[in-house]
Amino acid sequence: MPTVEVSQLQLWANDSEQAIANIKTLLTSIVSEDQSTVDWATEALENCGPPRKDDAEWLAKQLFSDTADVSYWAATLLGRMGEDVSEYQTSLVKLALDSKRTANVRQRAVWALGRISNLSNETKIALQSLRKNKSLEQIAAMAEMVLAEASKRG
Amino acid sequence: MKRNAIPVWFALLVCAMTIGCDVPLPVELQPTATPDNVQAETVSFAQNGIPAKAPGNLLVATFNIQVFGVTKAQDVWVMQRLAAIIRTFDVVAIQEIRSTDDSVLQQLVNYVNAEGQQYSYVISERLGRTNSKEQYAYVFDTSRVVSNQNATYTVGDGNSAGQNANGVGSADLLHREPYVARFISTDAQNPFRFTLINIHTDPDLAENEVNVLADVYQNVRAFELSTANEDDVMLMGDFNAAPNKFGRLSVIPGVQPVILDQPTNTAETKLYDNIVVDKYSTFEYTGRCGVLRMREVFGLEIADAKRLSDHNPVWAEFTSQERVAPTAMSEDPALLRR
Repeated sequence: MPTVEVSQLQLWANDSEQAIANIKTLLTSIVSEDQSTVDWATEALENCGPPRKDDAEWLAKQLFSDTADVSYWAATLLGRMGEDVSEYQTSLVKLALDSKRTANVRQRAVWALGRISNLSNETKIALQSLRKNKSLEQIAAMAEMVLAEASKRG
Repeated sequence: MKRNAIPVWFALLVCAMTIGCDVPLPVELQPTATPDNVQAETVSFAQNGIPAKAPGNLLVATFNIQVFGVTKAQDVWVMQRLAAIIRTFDVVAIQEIRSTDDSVLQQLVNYVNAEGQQYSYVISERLGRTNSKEQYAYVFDTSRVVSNQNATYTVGDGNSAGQNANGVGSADLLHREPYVARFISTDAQNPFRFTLINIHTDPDLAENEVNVLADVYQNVRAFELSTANEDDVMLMGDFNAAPNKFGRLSVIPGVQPVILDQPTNTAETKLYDNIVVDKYSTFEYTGRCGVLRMREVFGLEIADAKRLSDHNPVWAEFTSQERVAPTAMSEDPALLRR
């Protein structure tokens, strides 16, 4: 993935269409050793909205990155796509249940599942187990919210 | 004056409310150097409806300075204009300081003080869930209002403090825990004392986080009342939500966002930033408020305005002296005529 100048990232942070078009570069930039690059790439990711459908498969692979922030943002971006990533429920569930991952990453995976309205039974069972895990309050609280929303939707 | 019960579940949320927590202090709170060749911007804020700082009033603002770090700190054009904005107000609650360089806010305050002003600041610890962490700050005119680092605290829910690597012991309902500071005006008689809560919600979780802020607001208010006899508590910052999306925050009796229908982003398409006051206790709020439209004030094209920030500052005016609650008698003209 090519390196990108901070000035370019600043433009993308204020131009969601350009940010979406360069989503792979942005996600790669958040692991830069240059903190300004990390900060402006993060800002662009925060502002860009849902990615394009054809980036979903690549993003789903990034869920299992060795870098926590890449996993975190991959889950966030997939979550923004809602129904379009229903087929990646299994990947998101796997990430949410992975005790080797950070709580922030796992919480984001649970949040992303909450953006999908047609949750499978397997997903609901996984969320119920996370909800009951009182030693992981951060994840349990998010699972509780997601299940409550799913219940409202029937 | 109203006291609000603390929801039982919220005990999980508030793990730490510590006055004067271990925040890395800047080397000098008072500016020591003036940047070379800096002229203060001579712009008219009056045309933007902003009252002048005057005896008897206090102007409080909130400003998300989008990724304020070394890139902006090195840009004189940006720094001069940010400084001009800050000089317009007595207290500015700042969001989105993103830098591992501890000096960037001091550099901004140096610009603010370029013509002999006496601004200082307090700053939070770094907060957030990724490697790109943010700090809150309050920059304030010490000739008009006083605070210090020991008069600040973070409303912890375990994200940055008190949470182990697996998230044990933390509900962590807010991406960035609110930063609270106490202020007192420098008025000689009956100075206005107030507490500000600075917040920047996560845009992806704004709906949930604004609901949590209802509990934060009520708990901070109860805490301030019990520890400092303070009932003037304002919640301000980037909510990533308009007032019609304030959820449980909007149903707290007396709570009122000052901006109801004006866009606050630089593109002037979204209402994200606000100042929330309690009309039943903060009689010092004069009712004057607004959005400082950077494009208009500086005569900028939108692309240049966005070099400053993607948010415009939001402000509200208060009296610099405490005001007492109107009594039932004074509110009822019939009683006064007897």
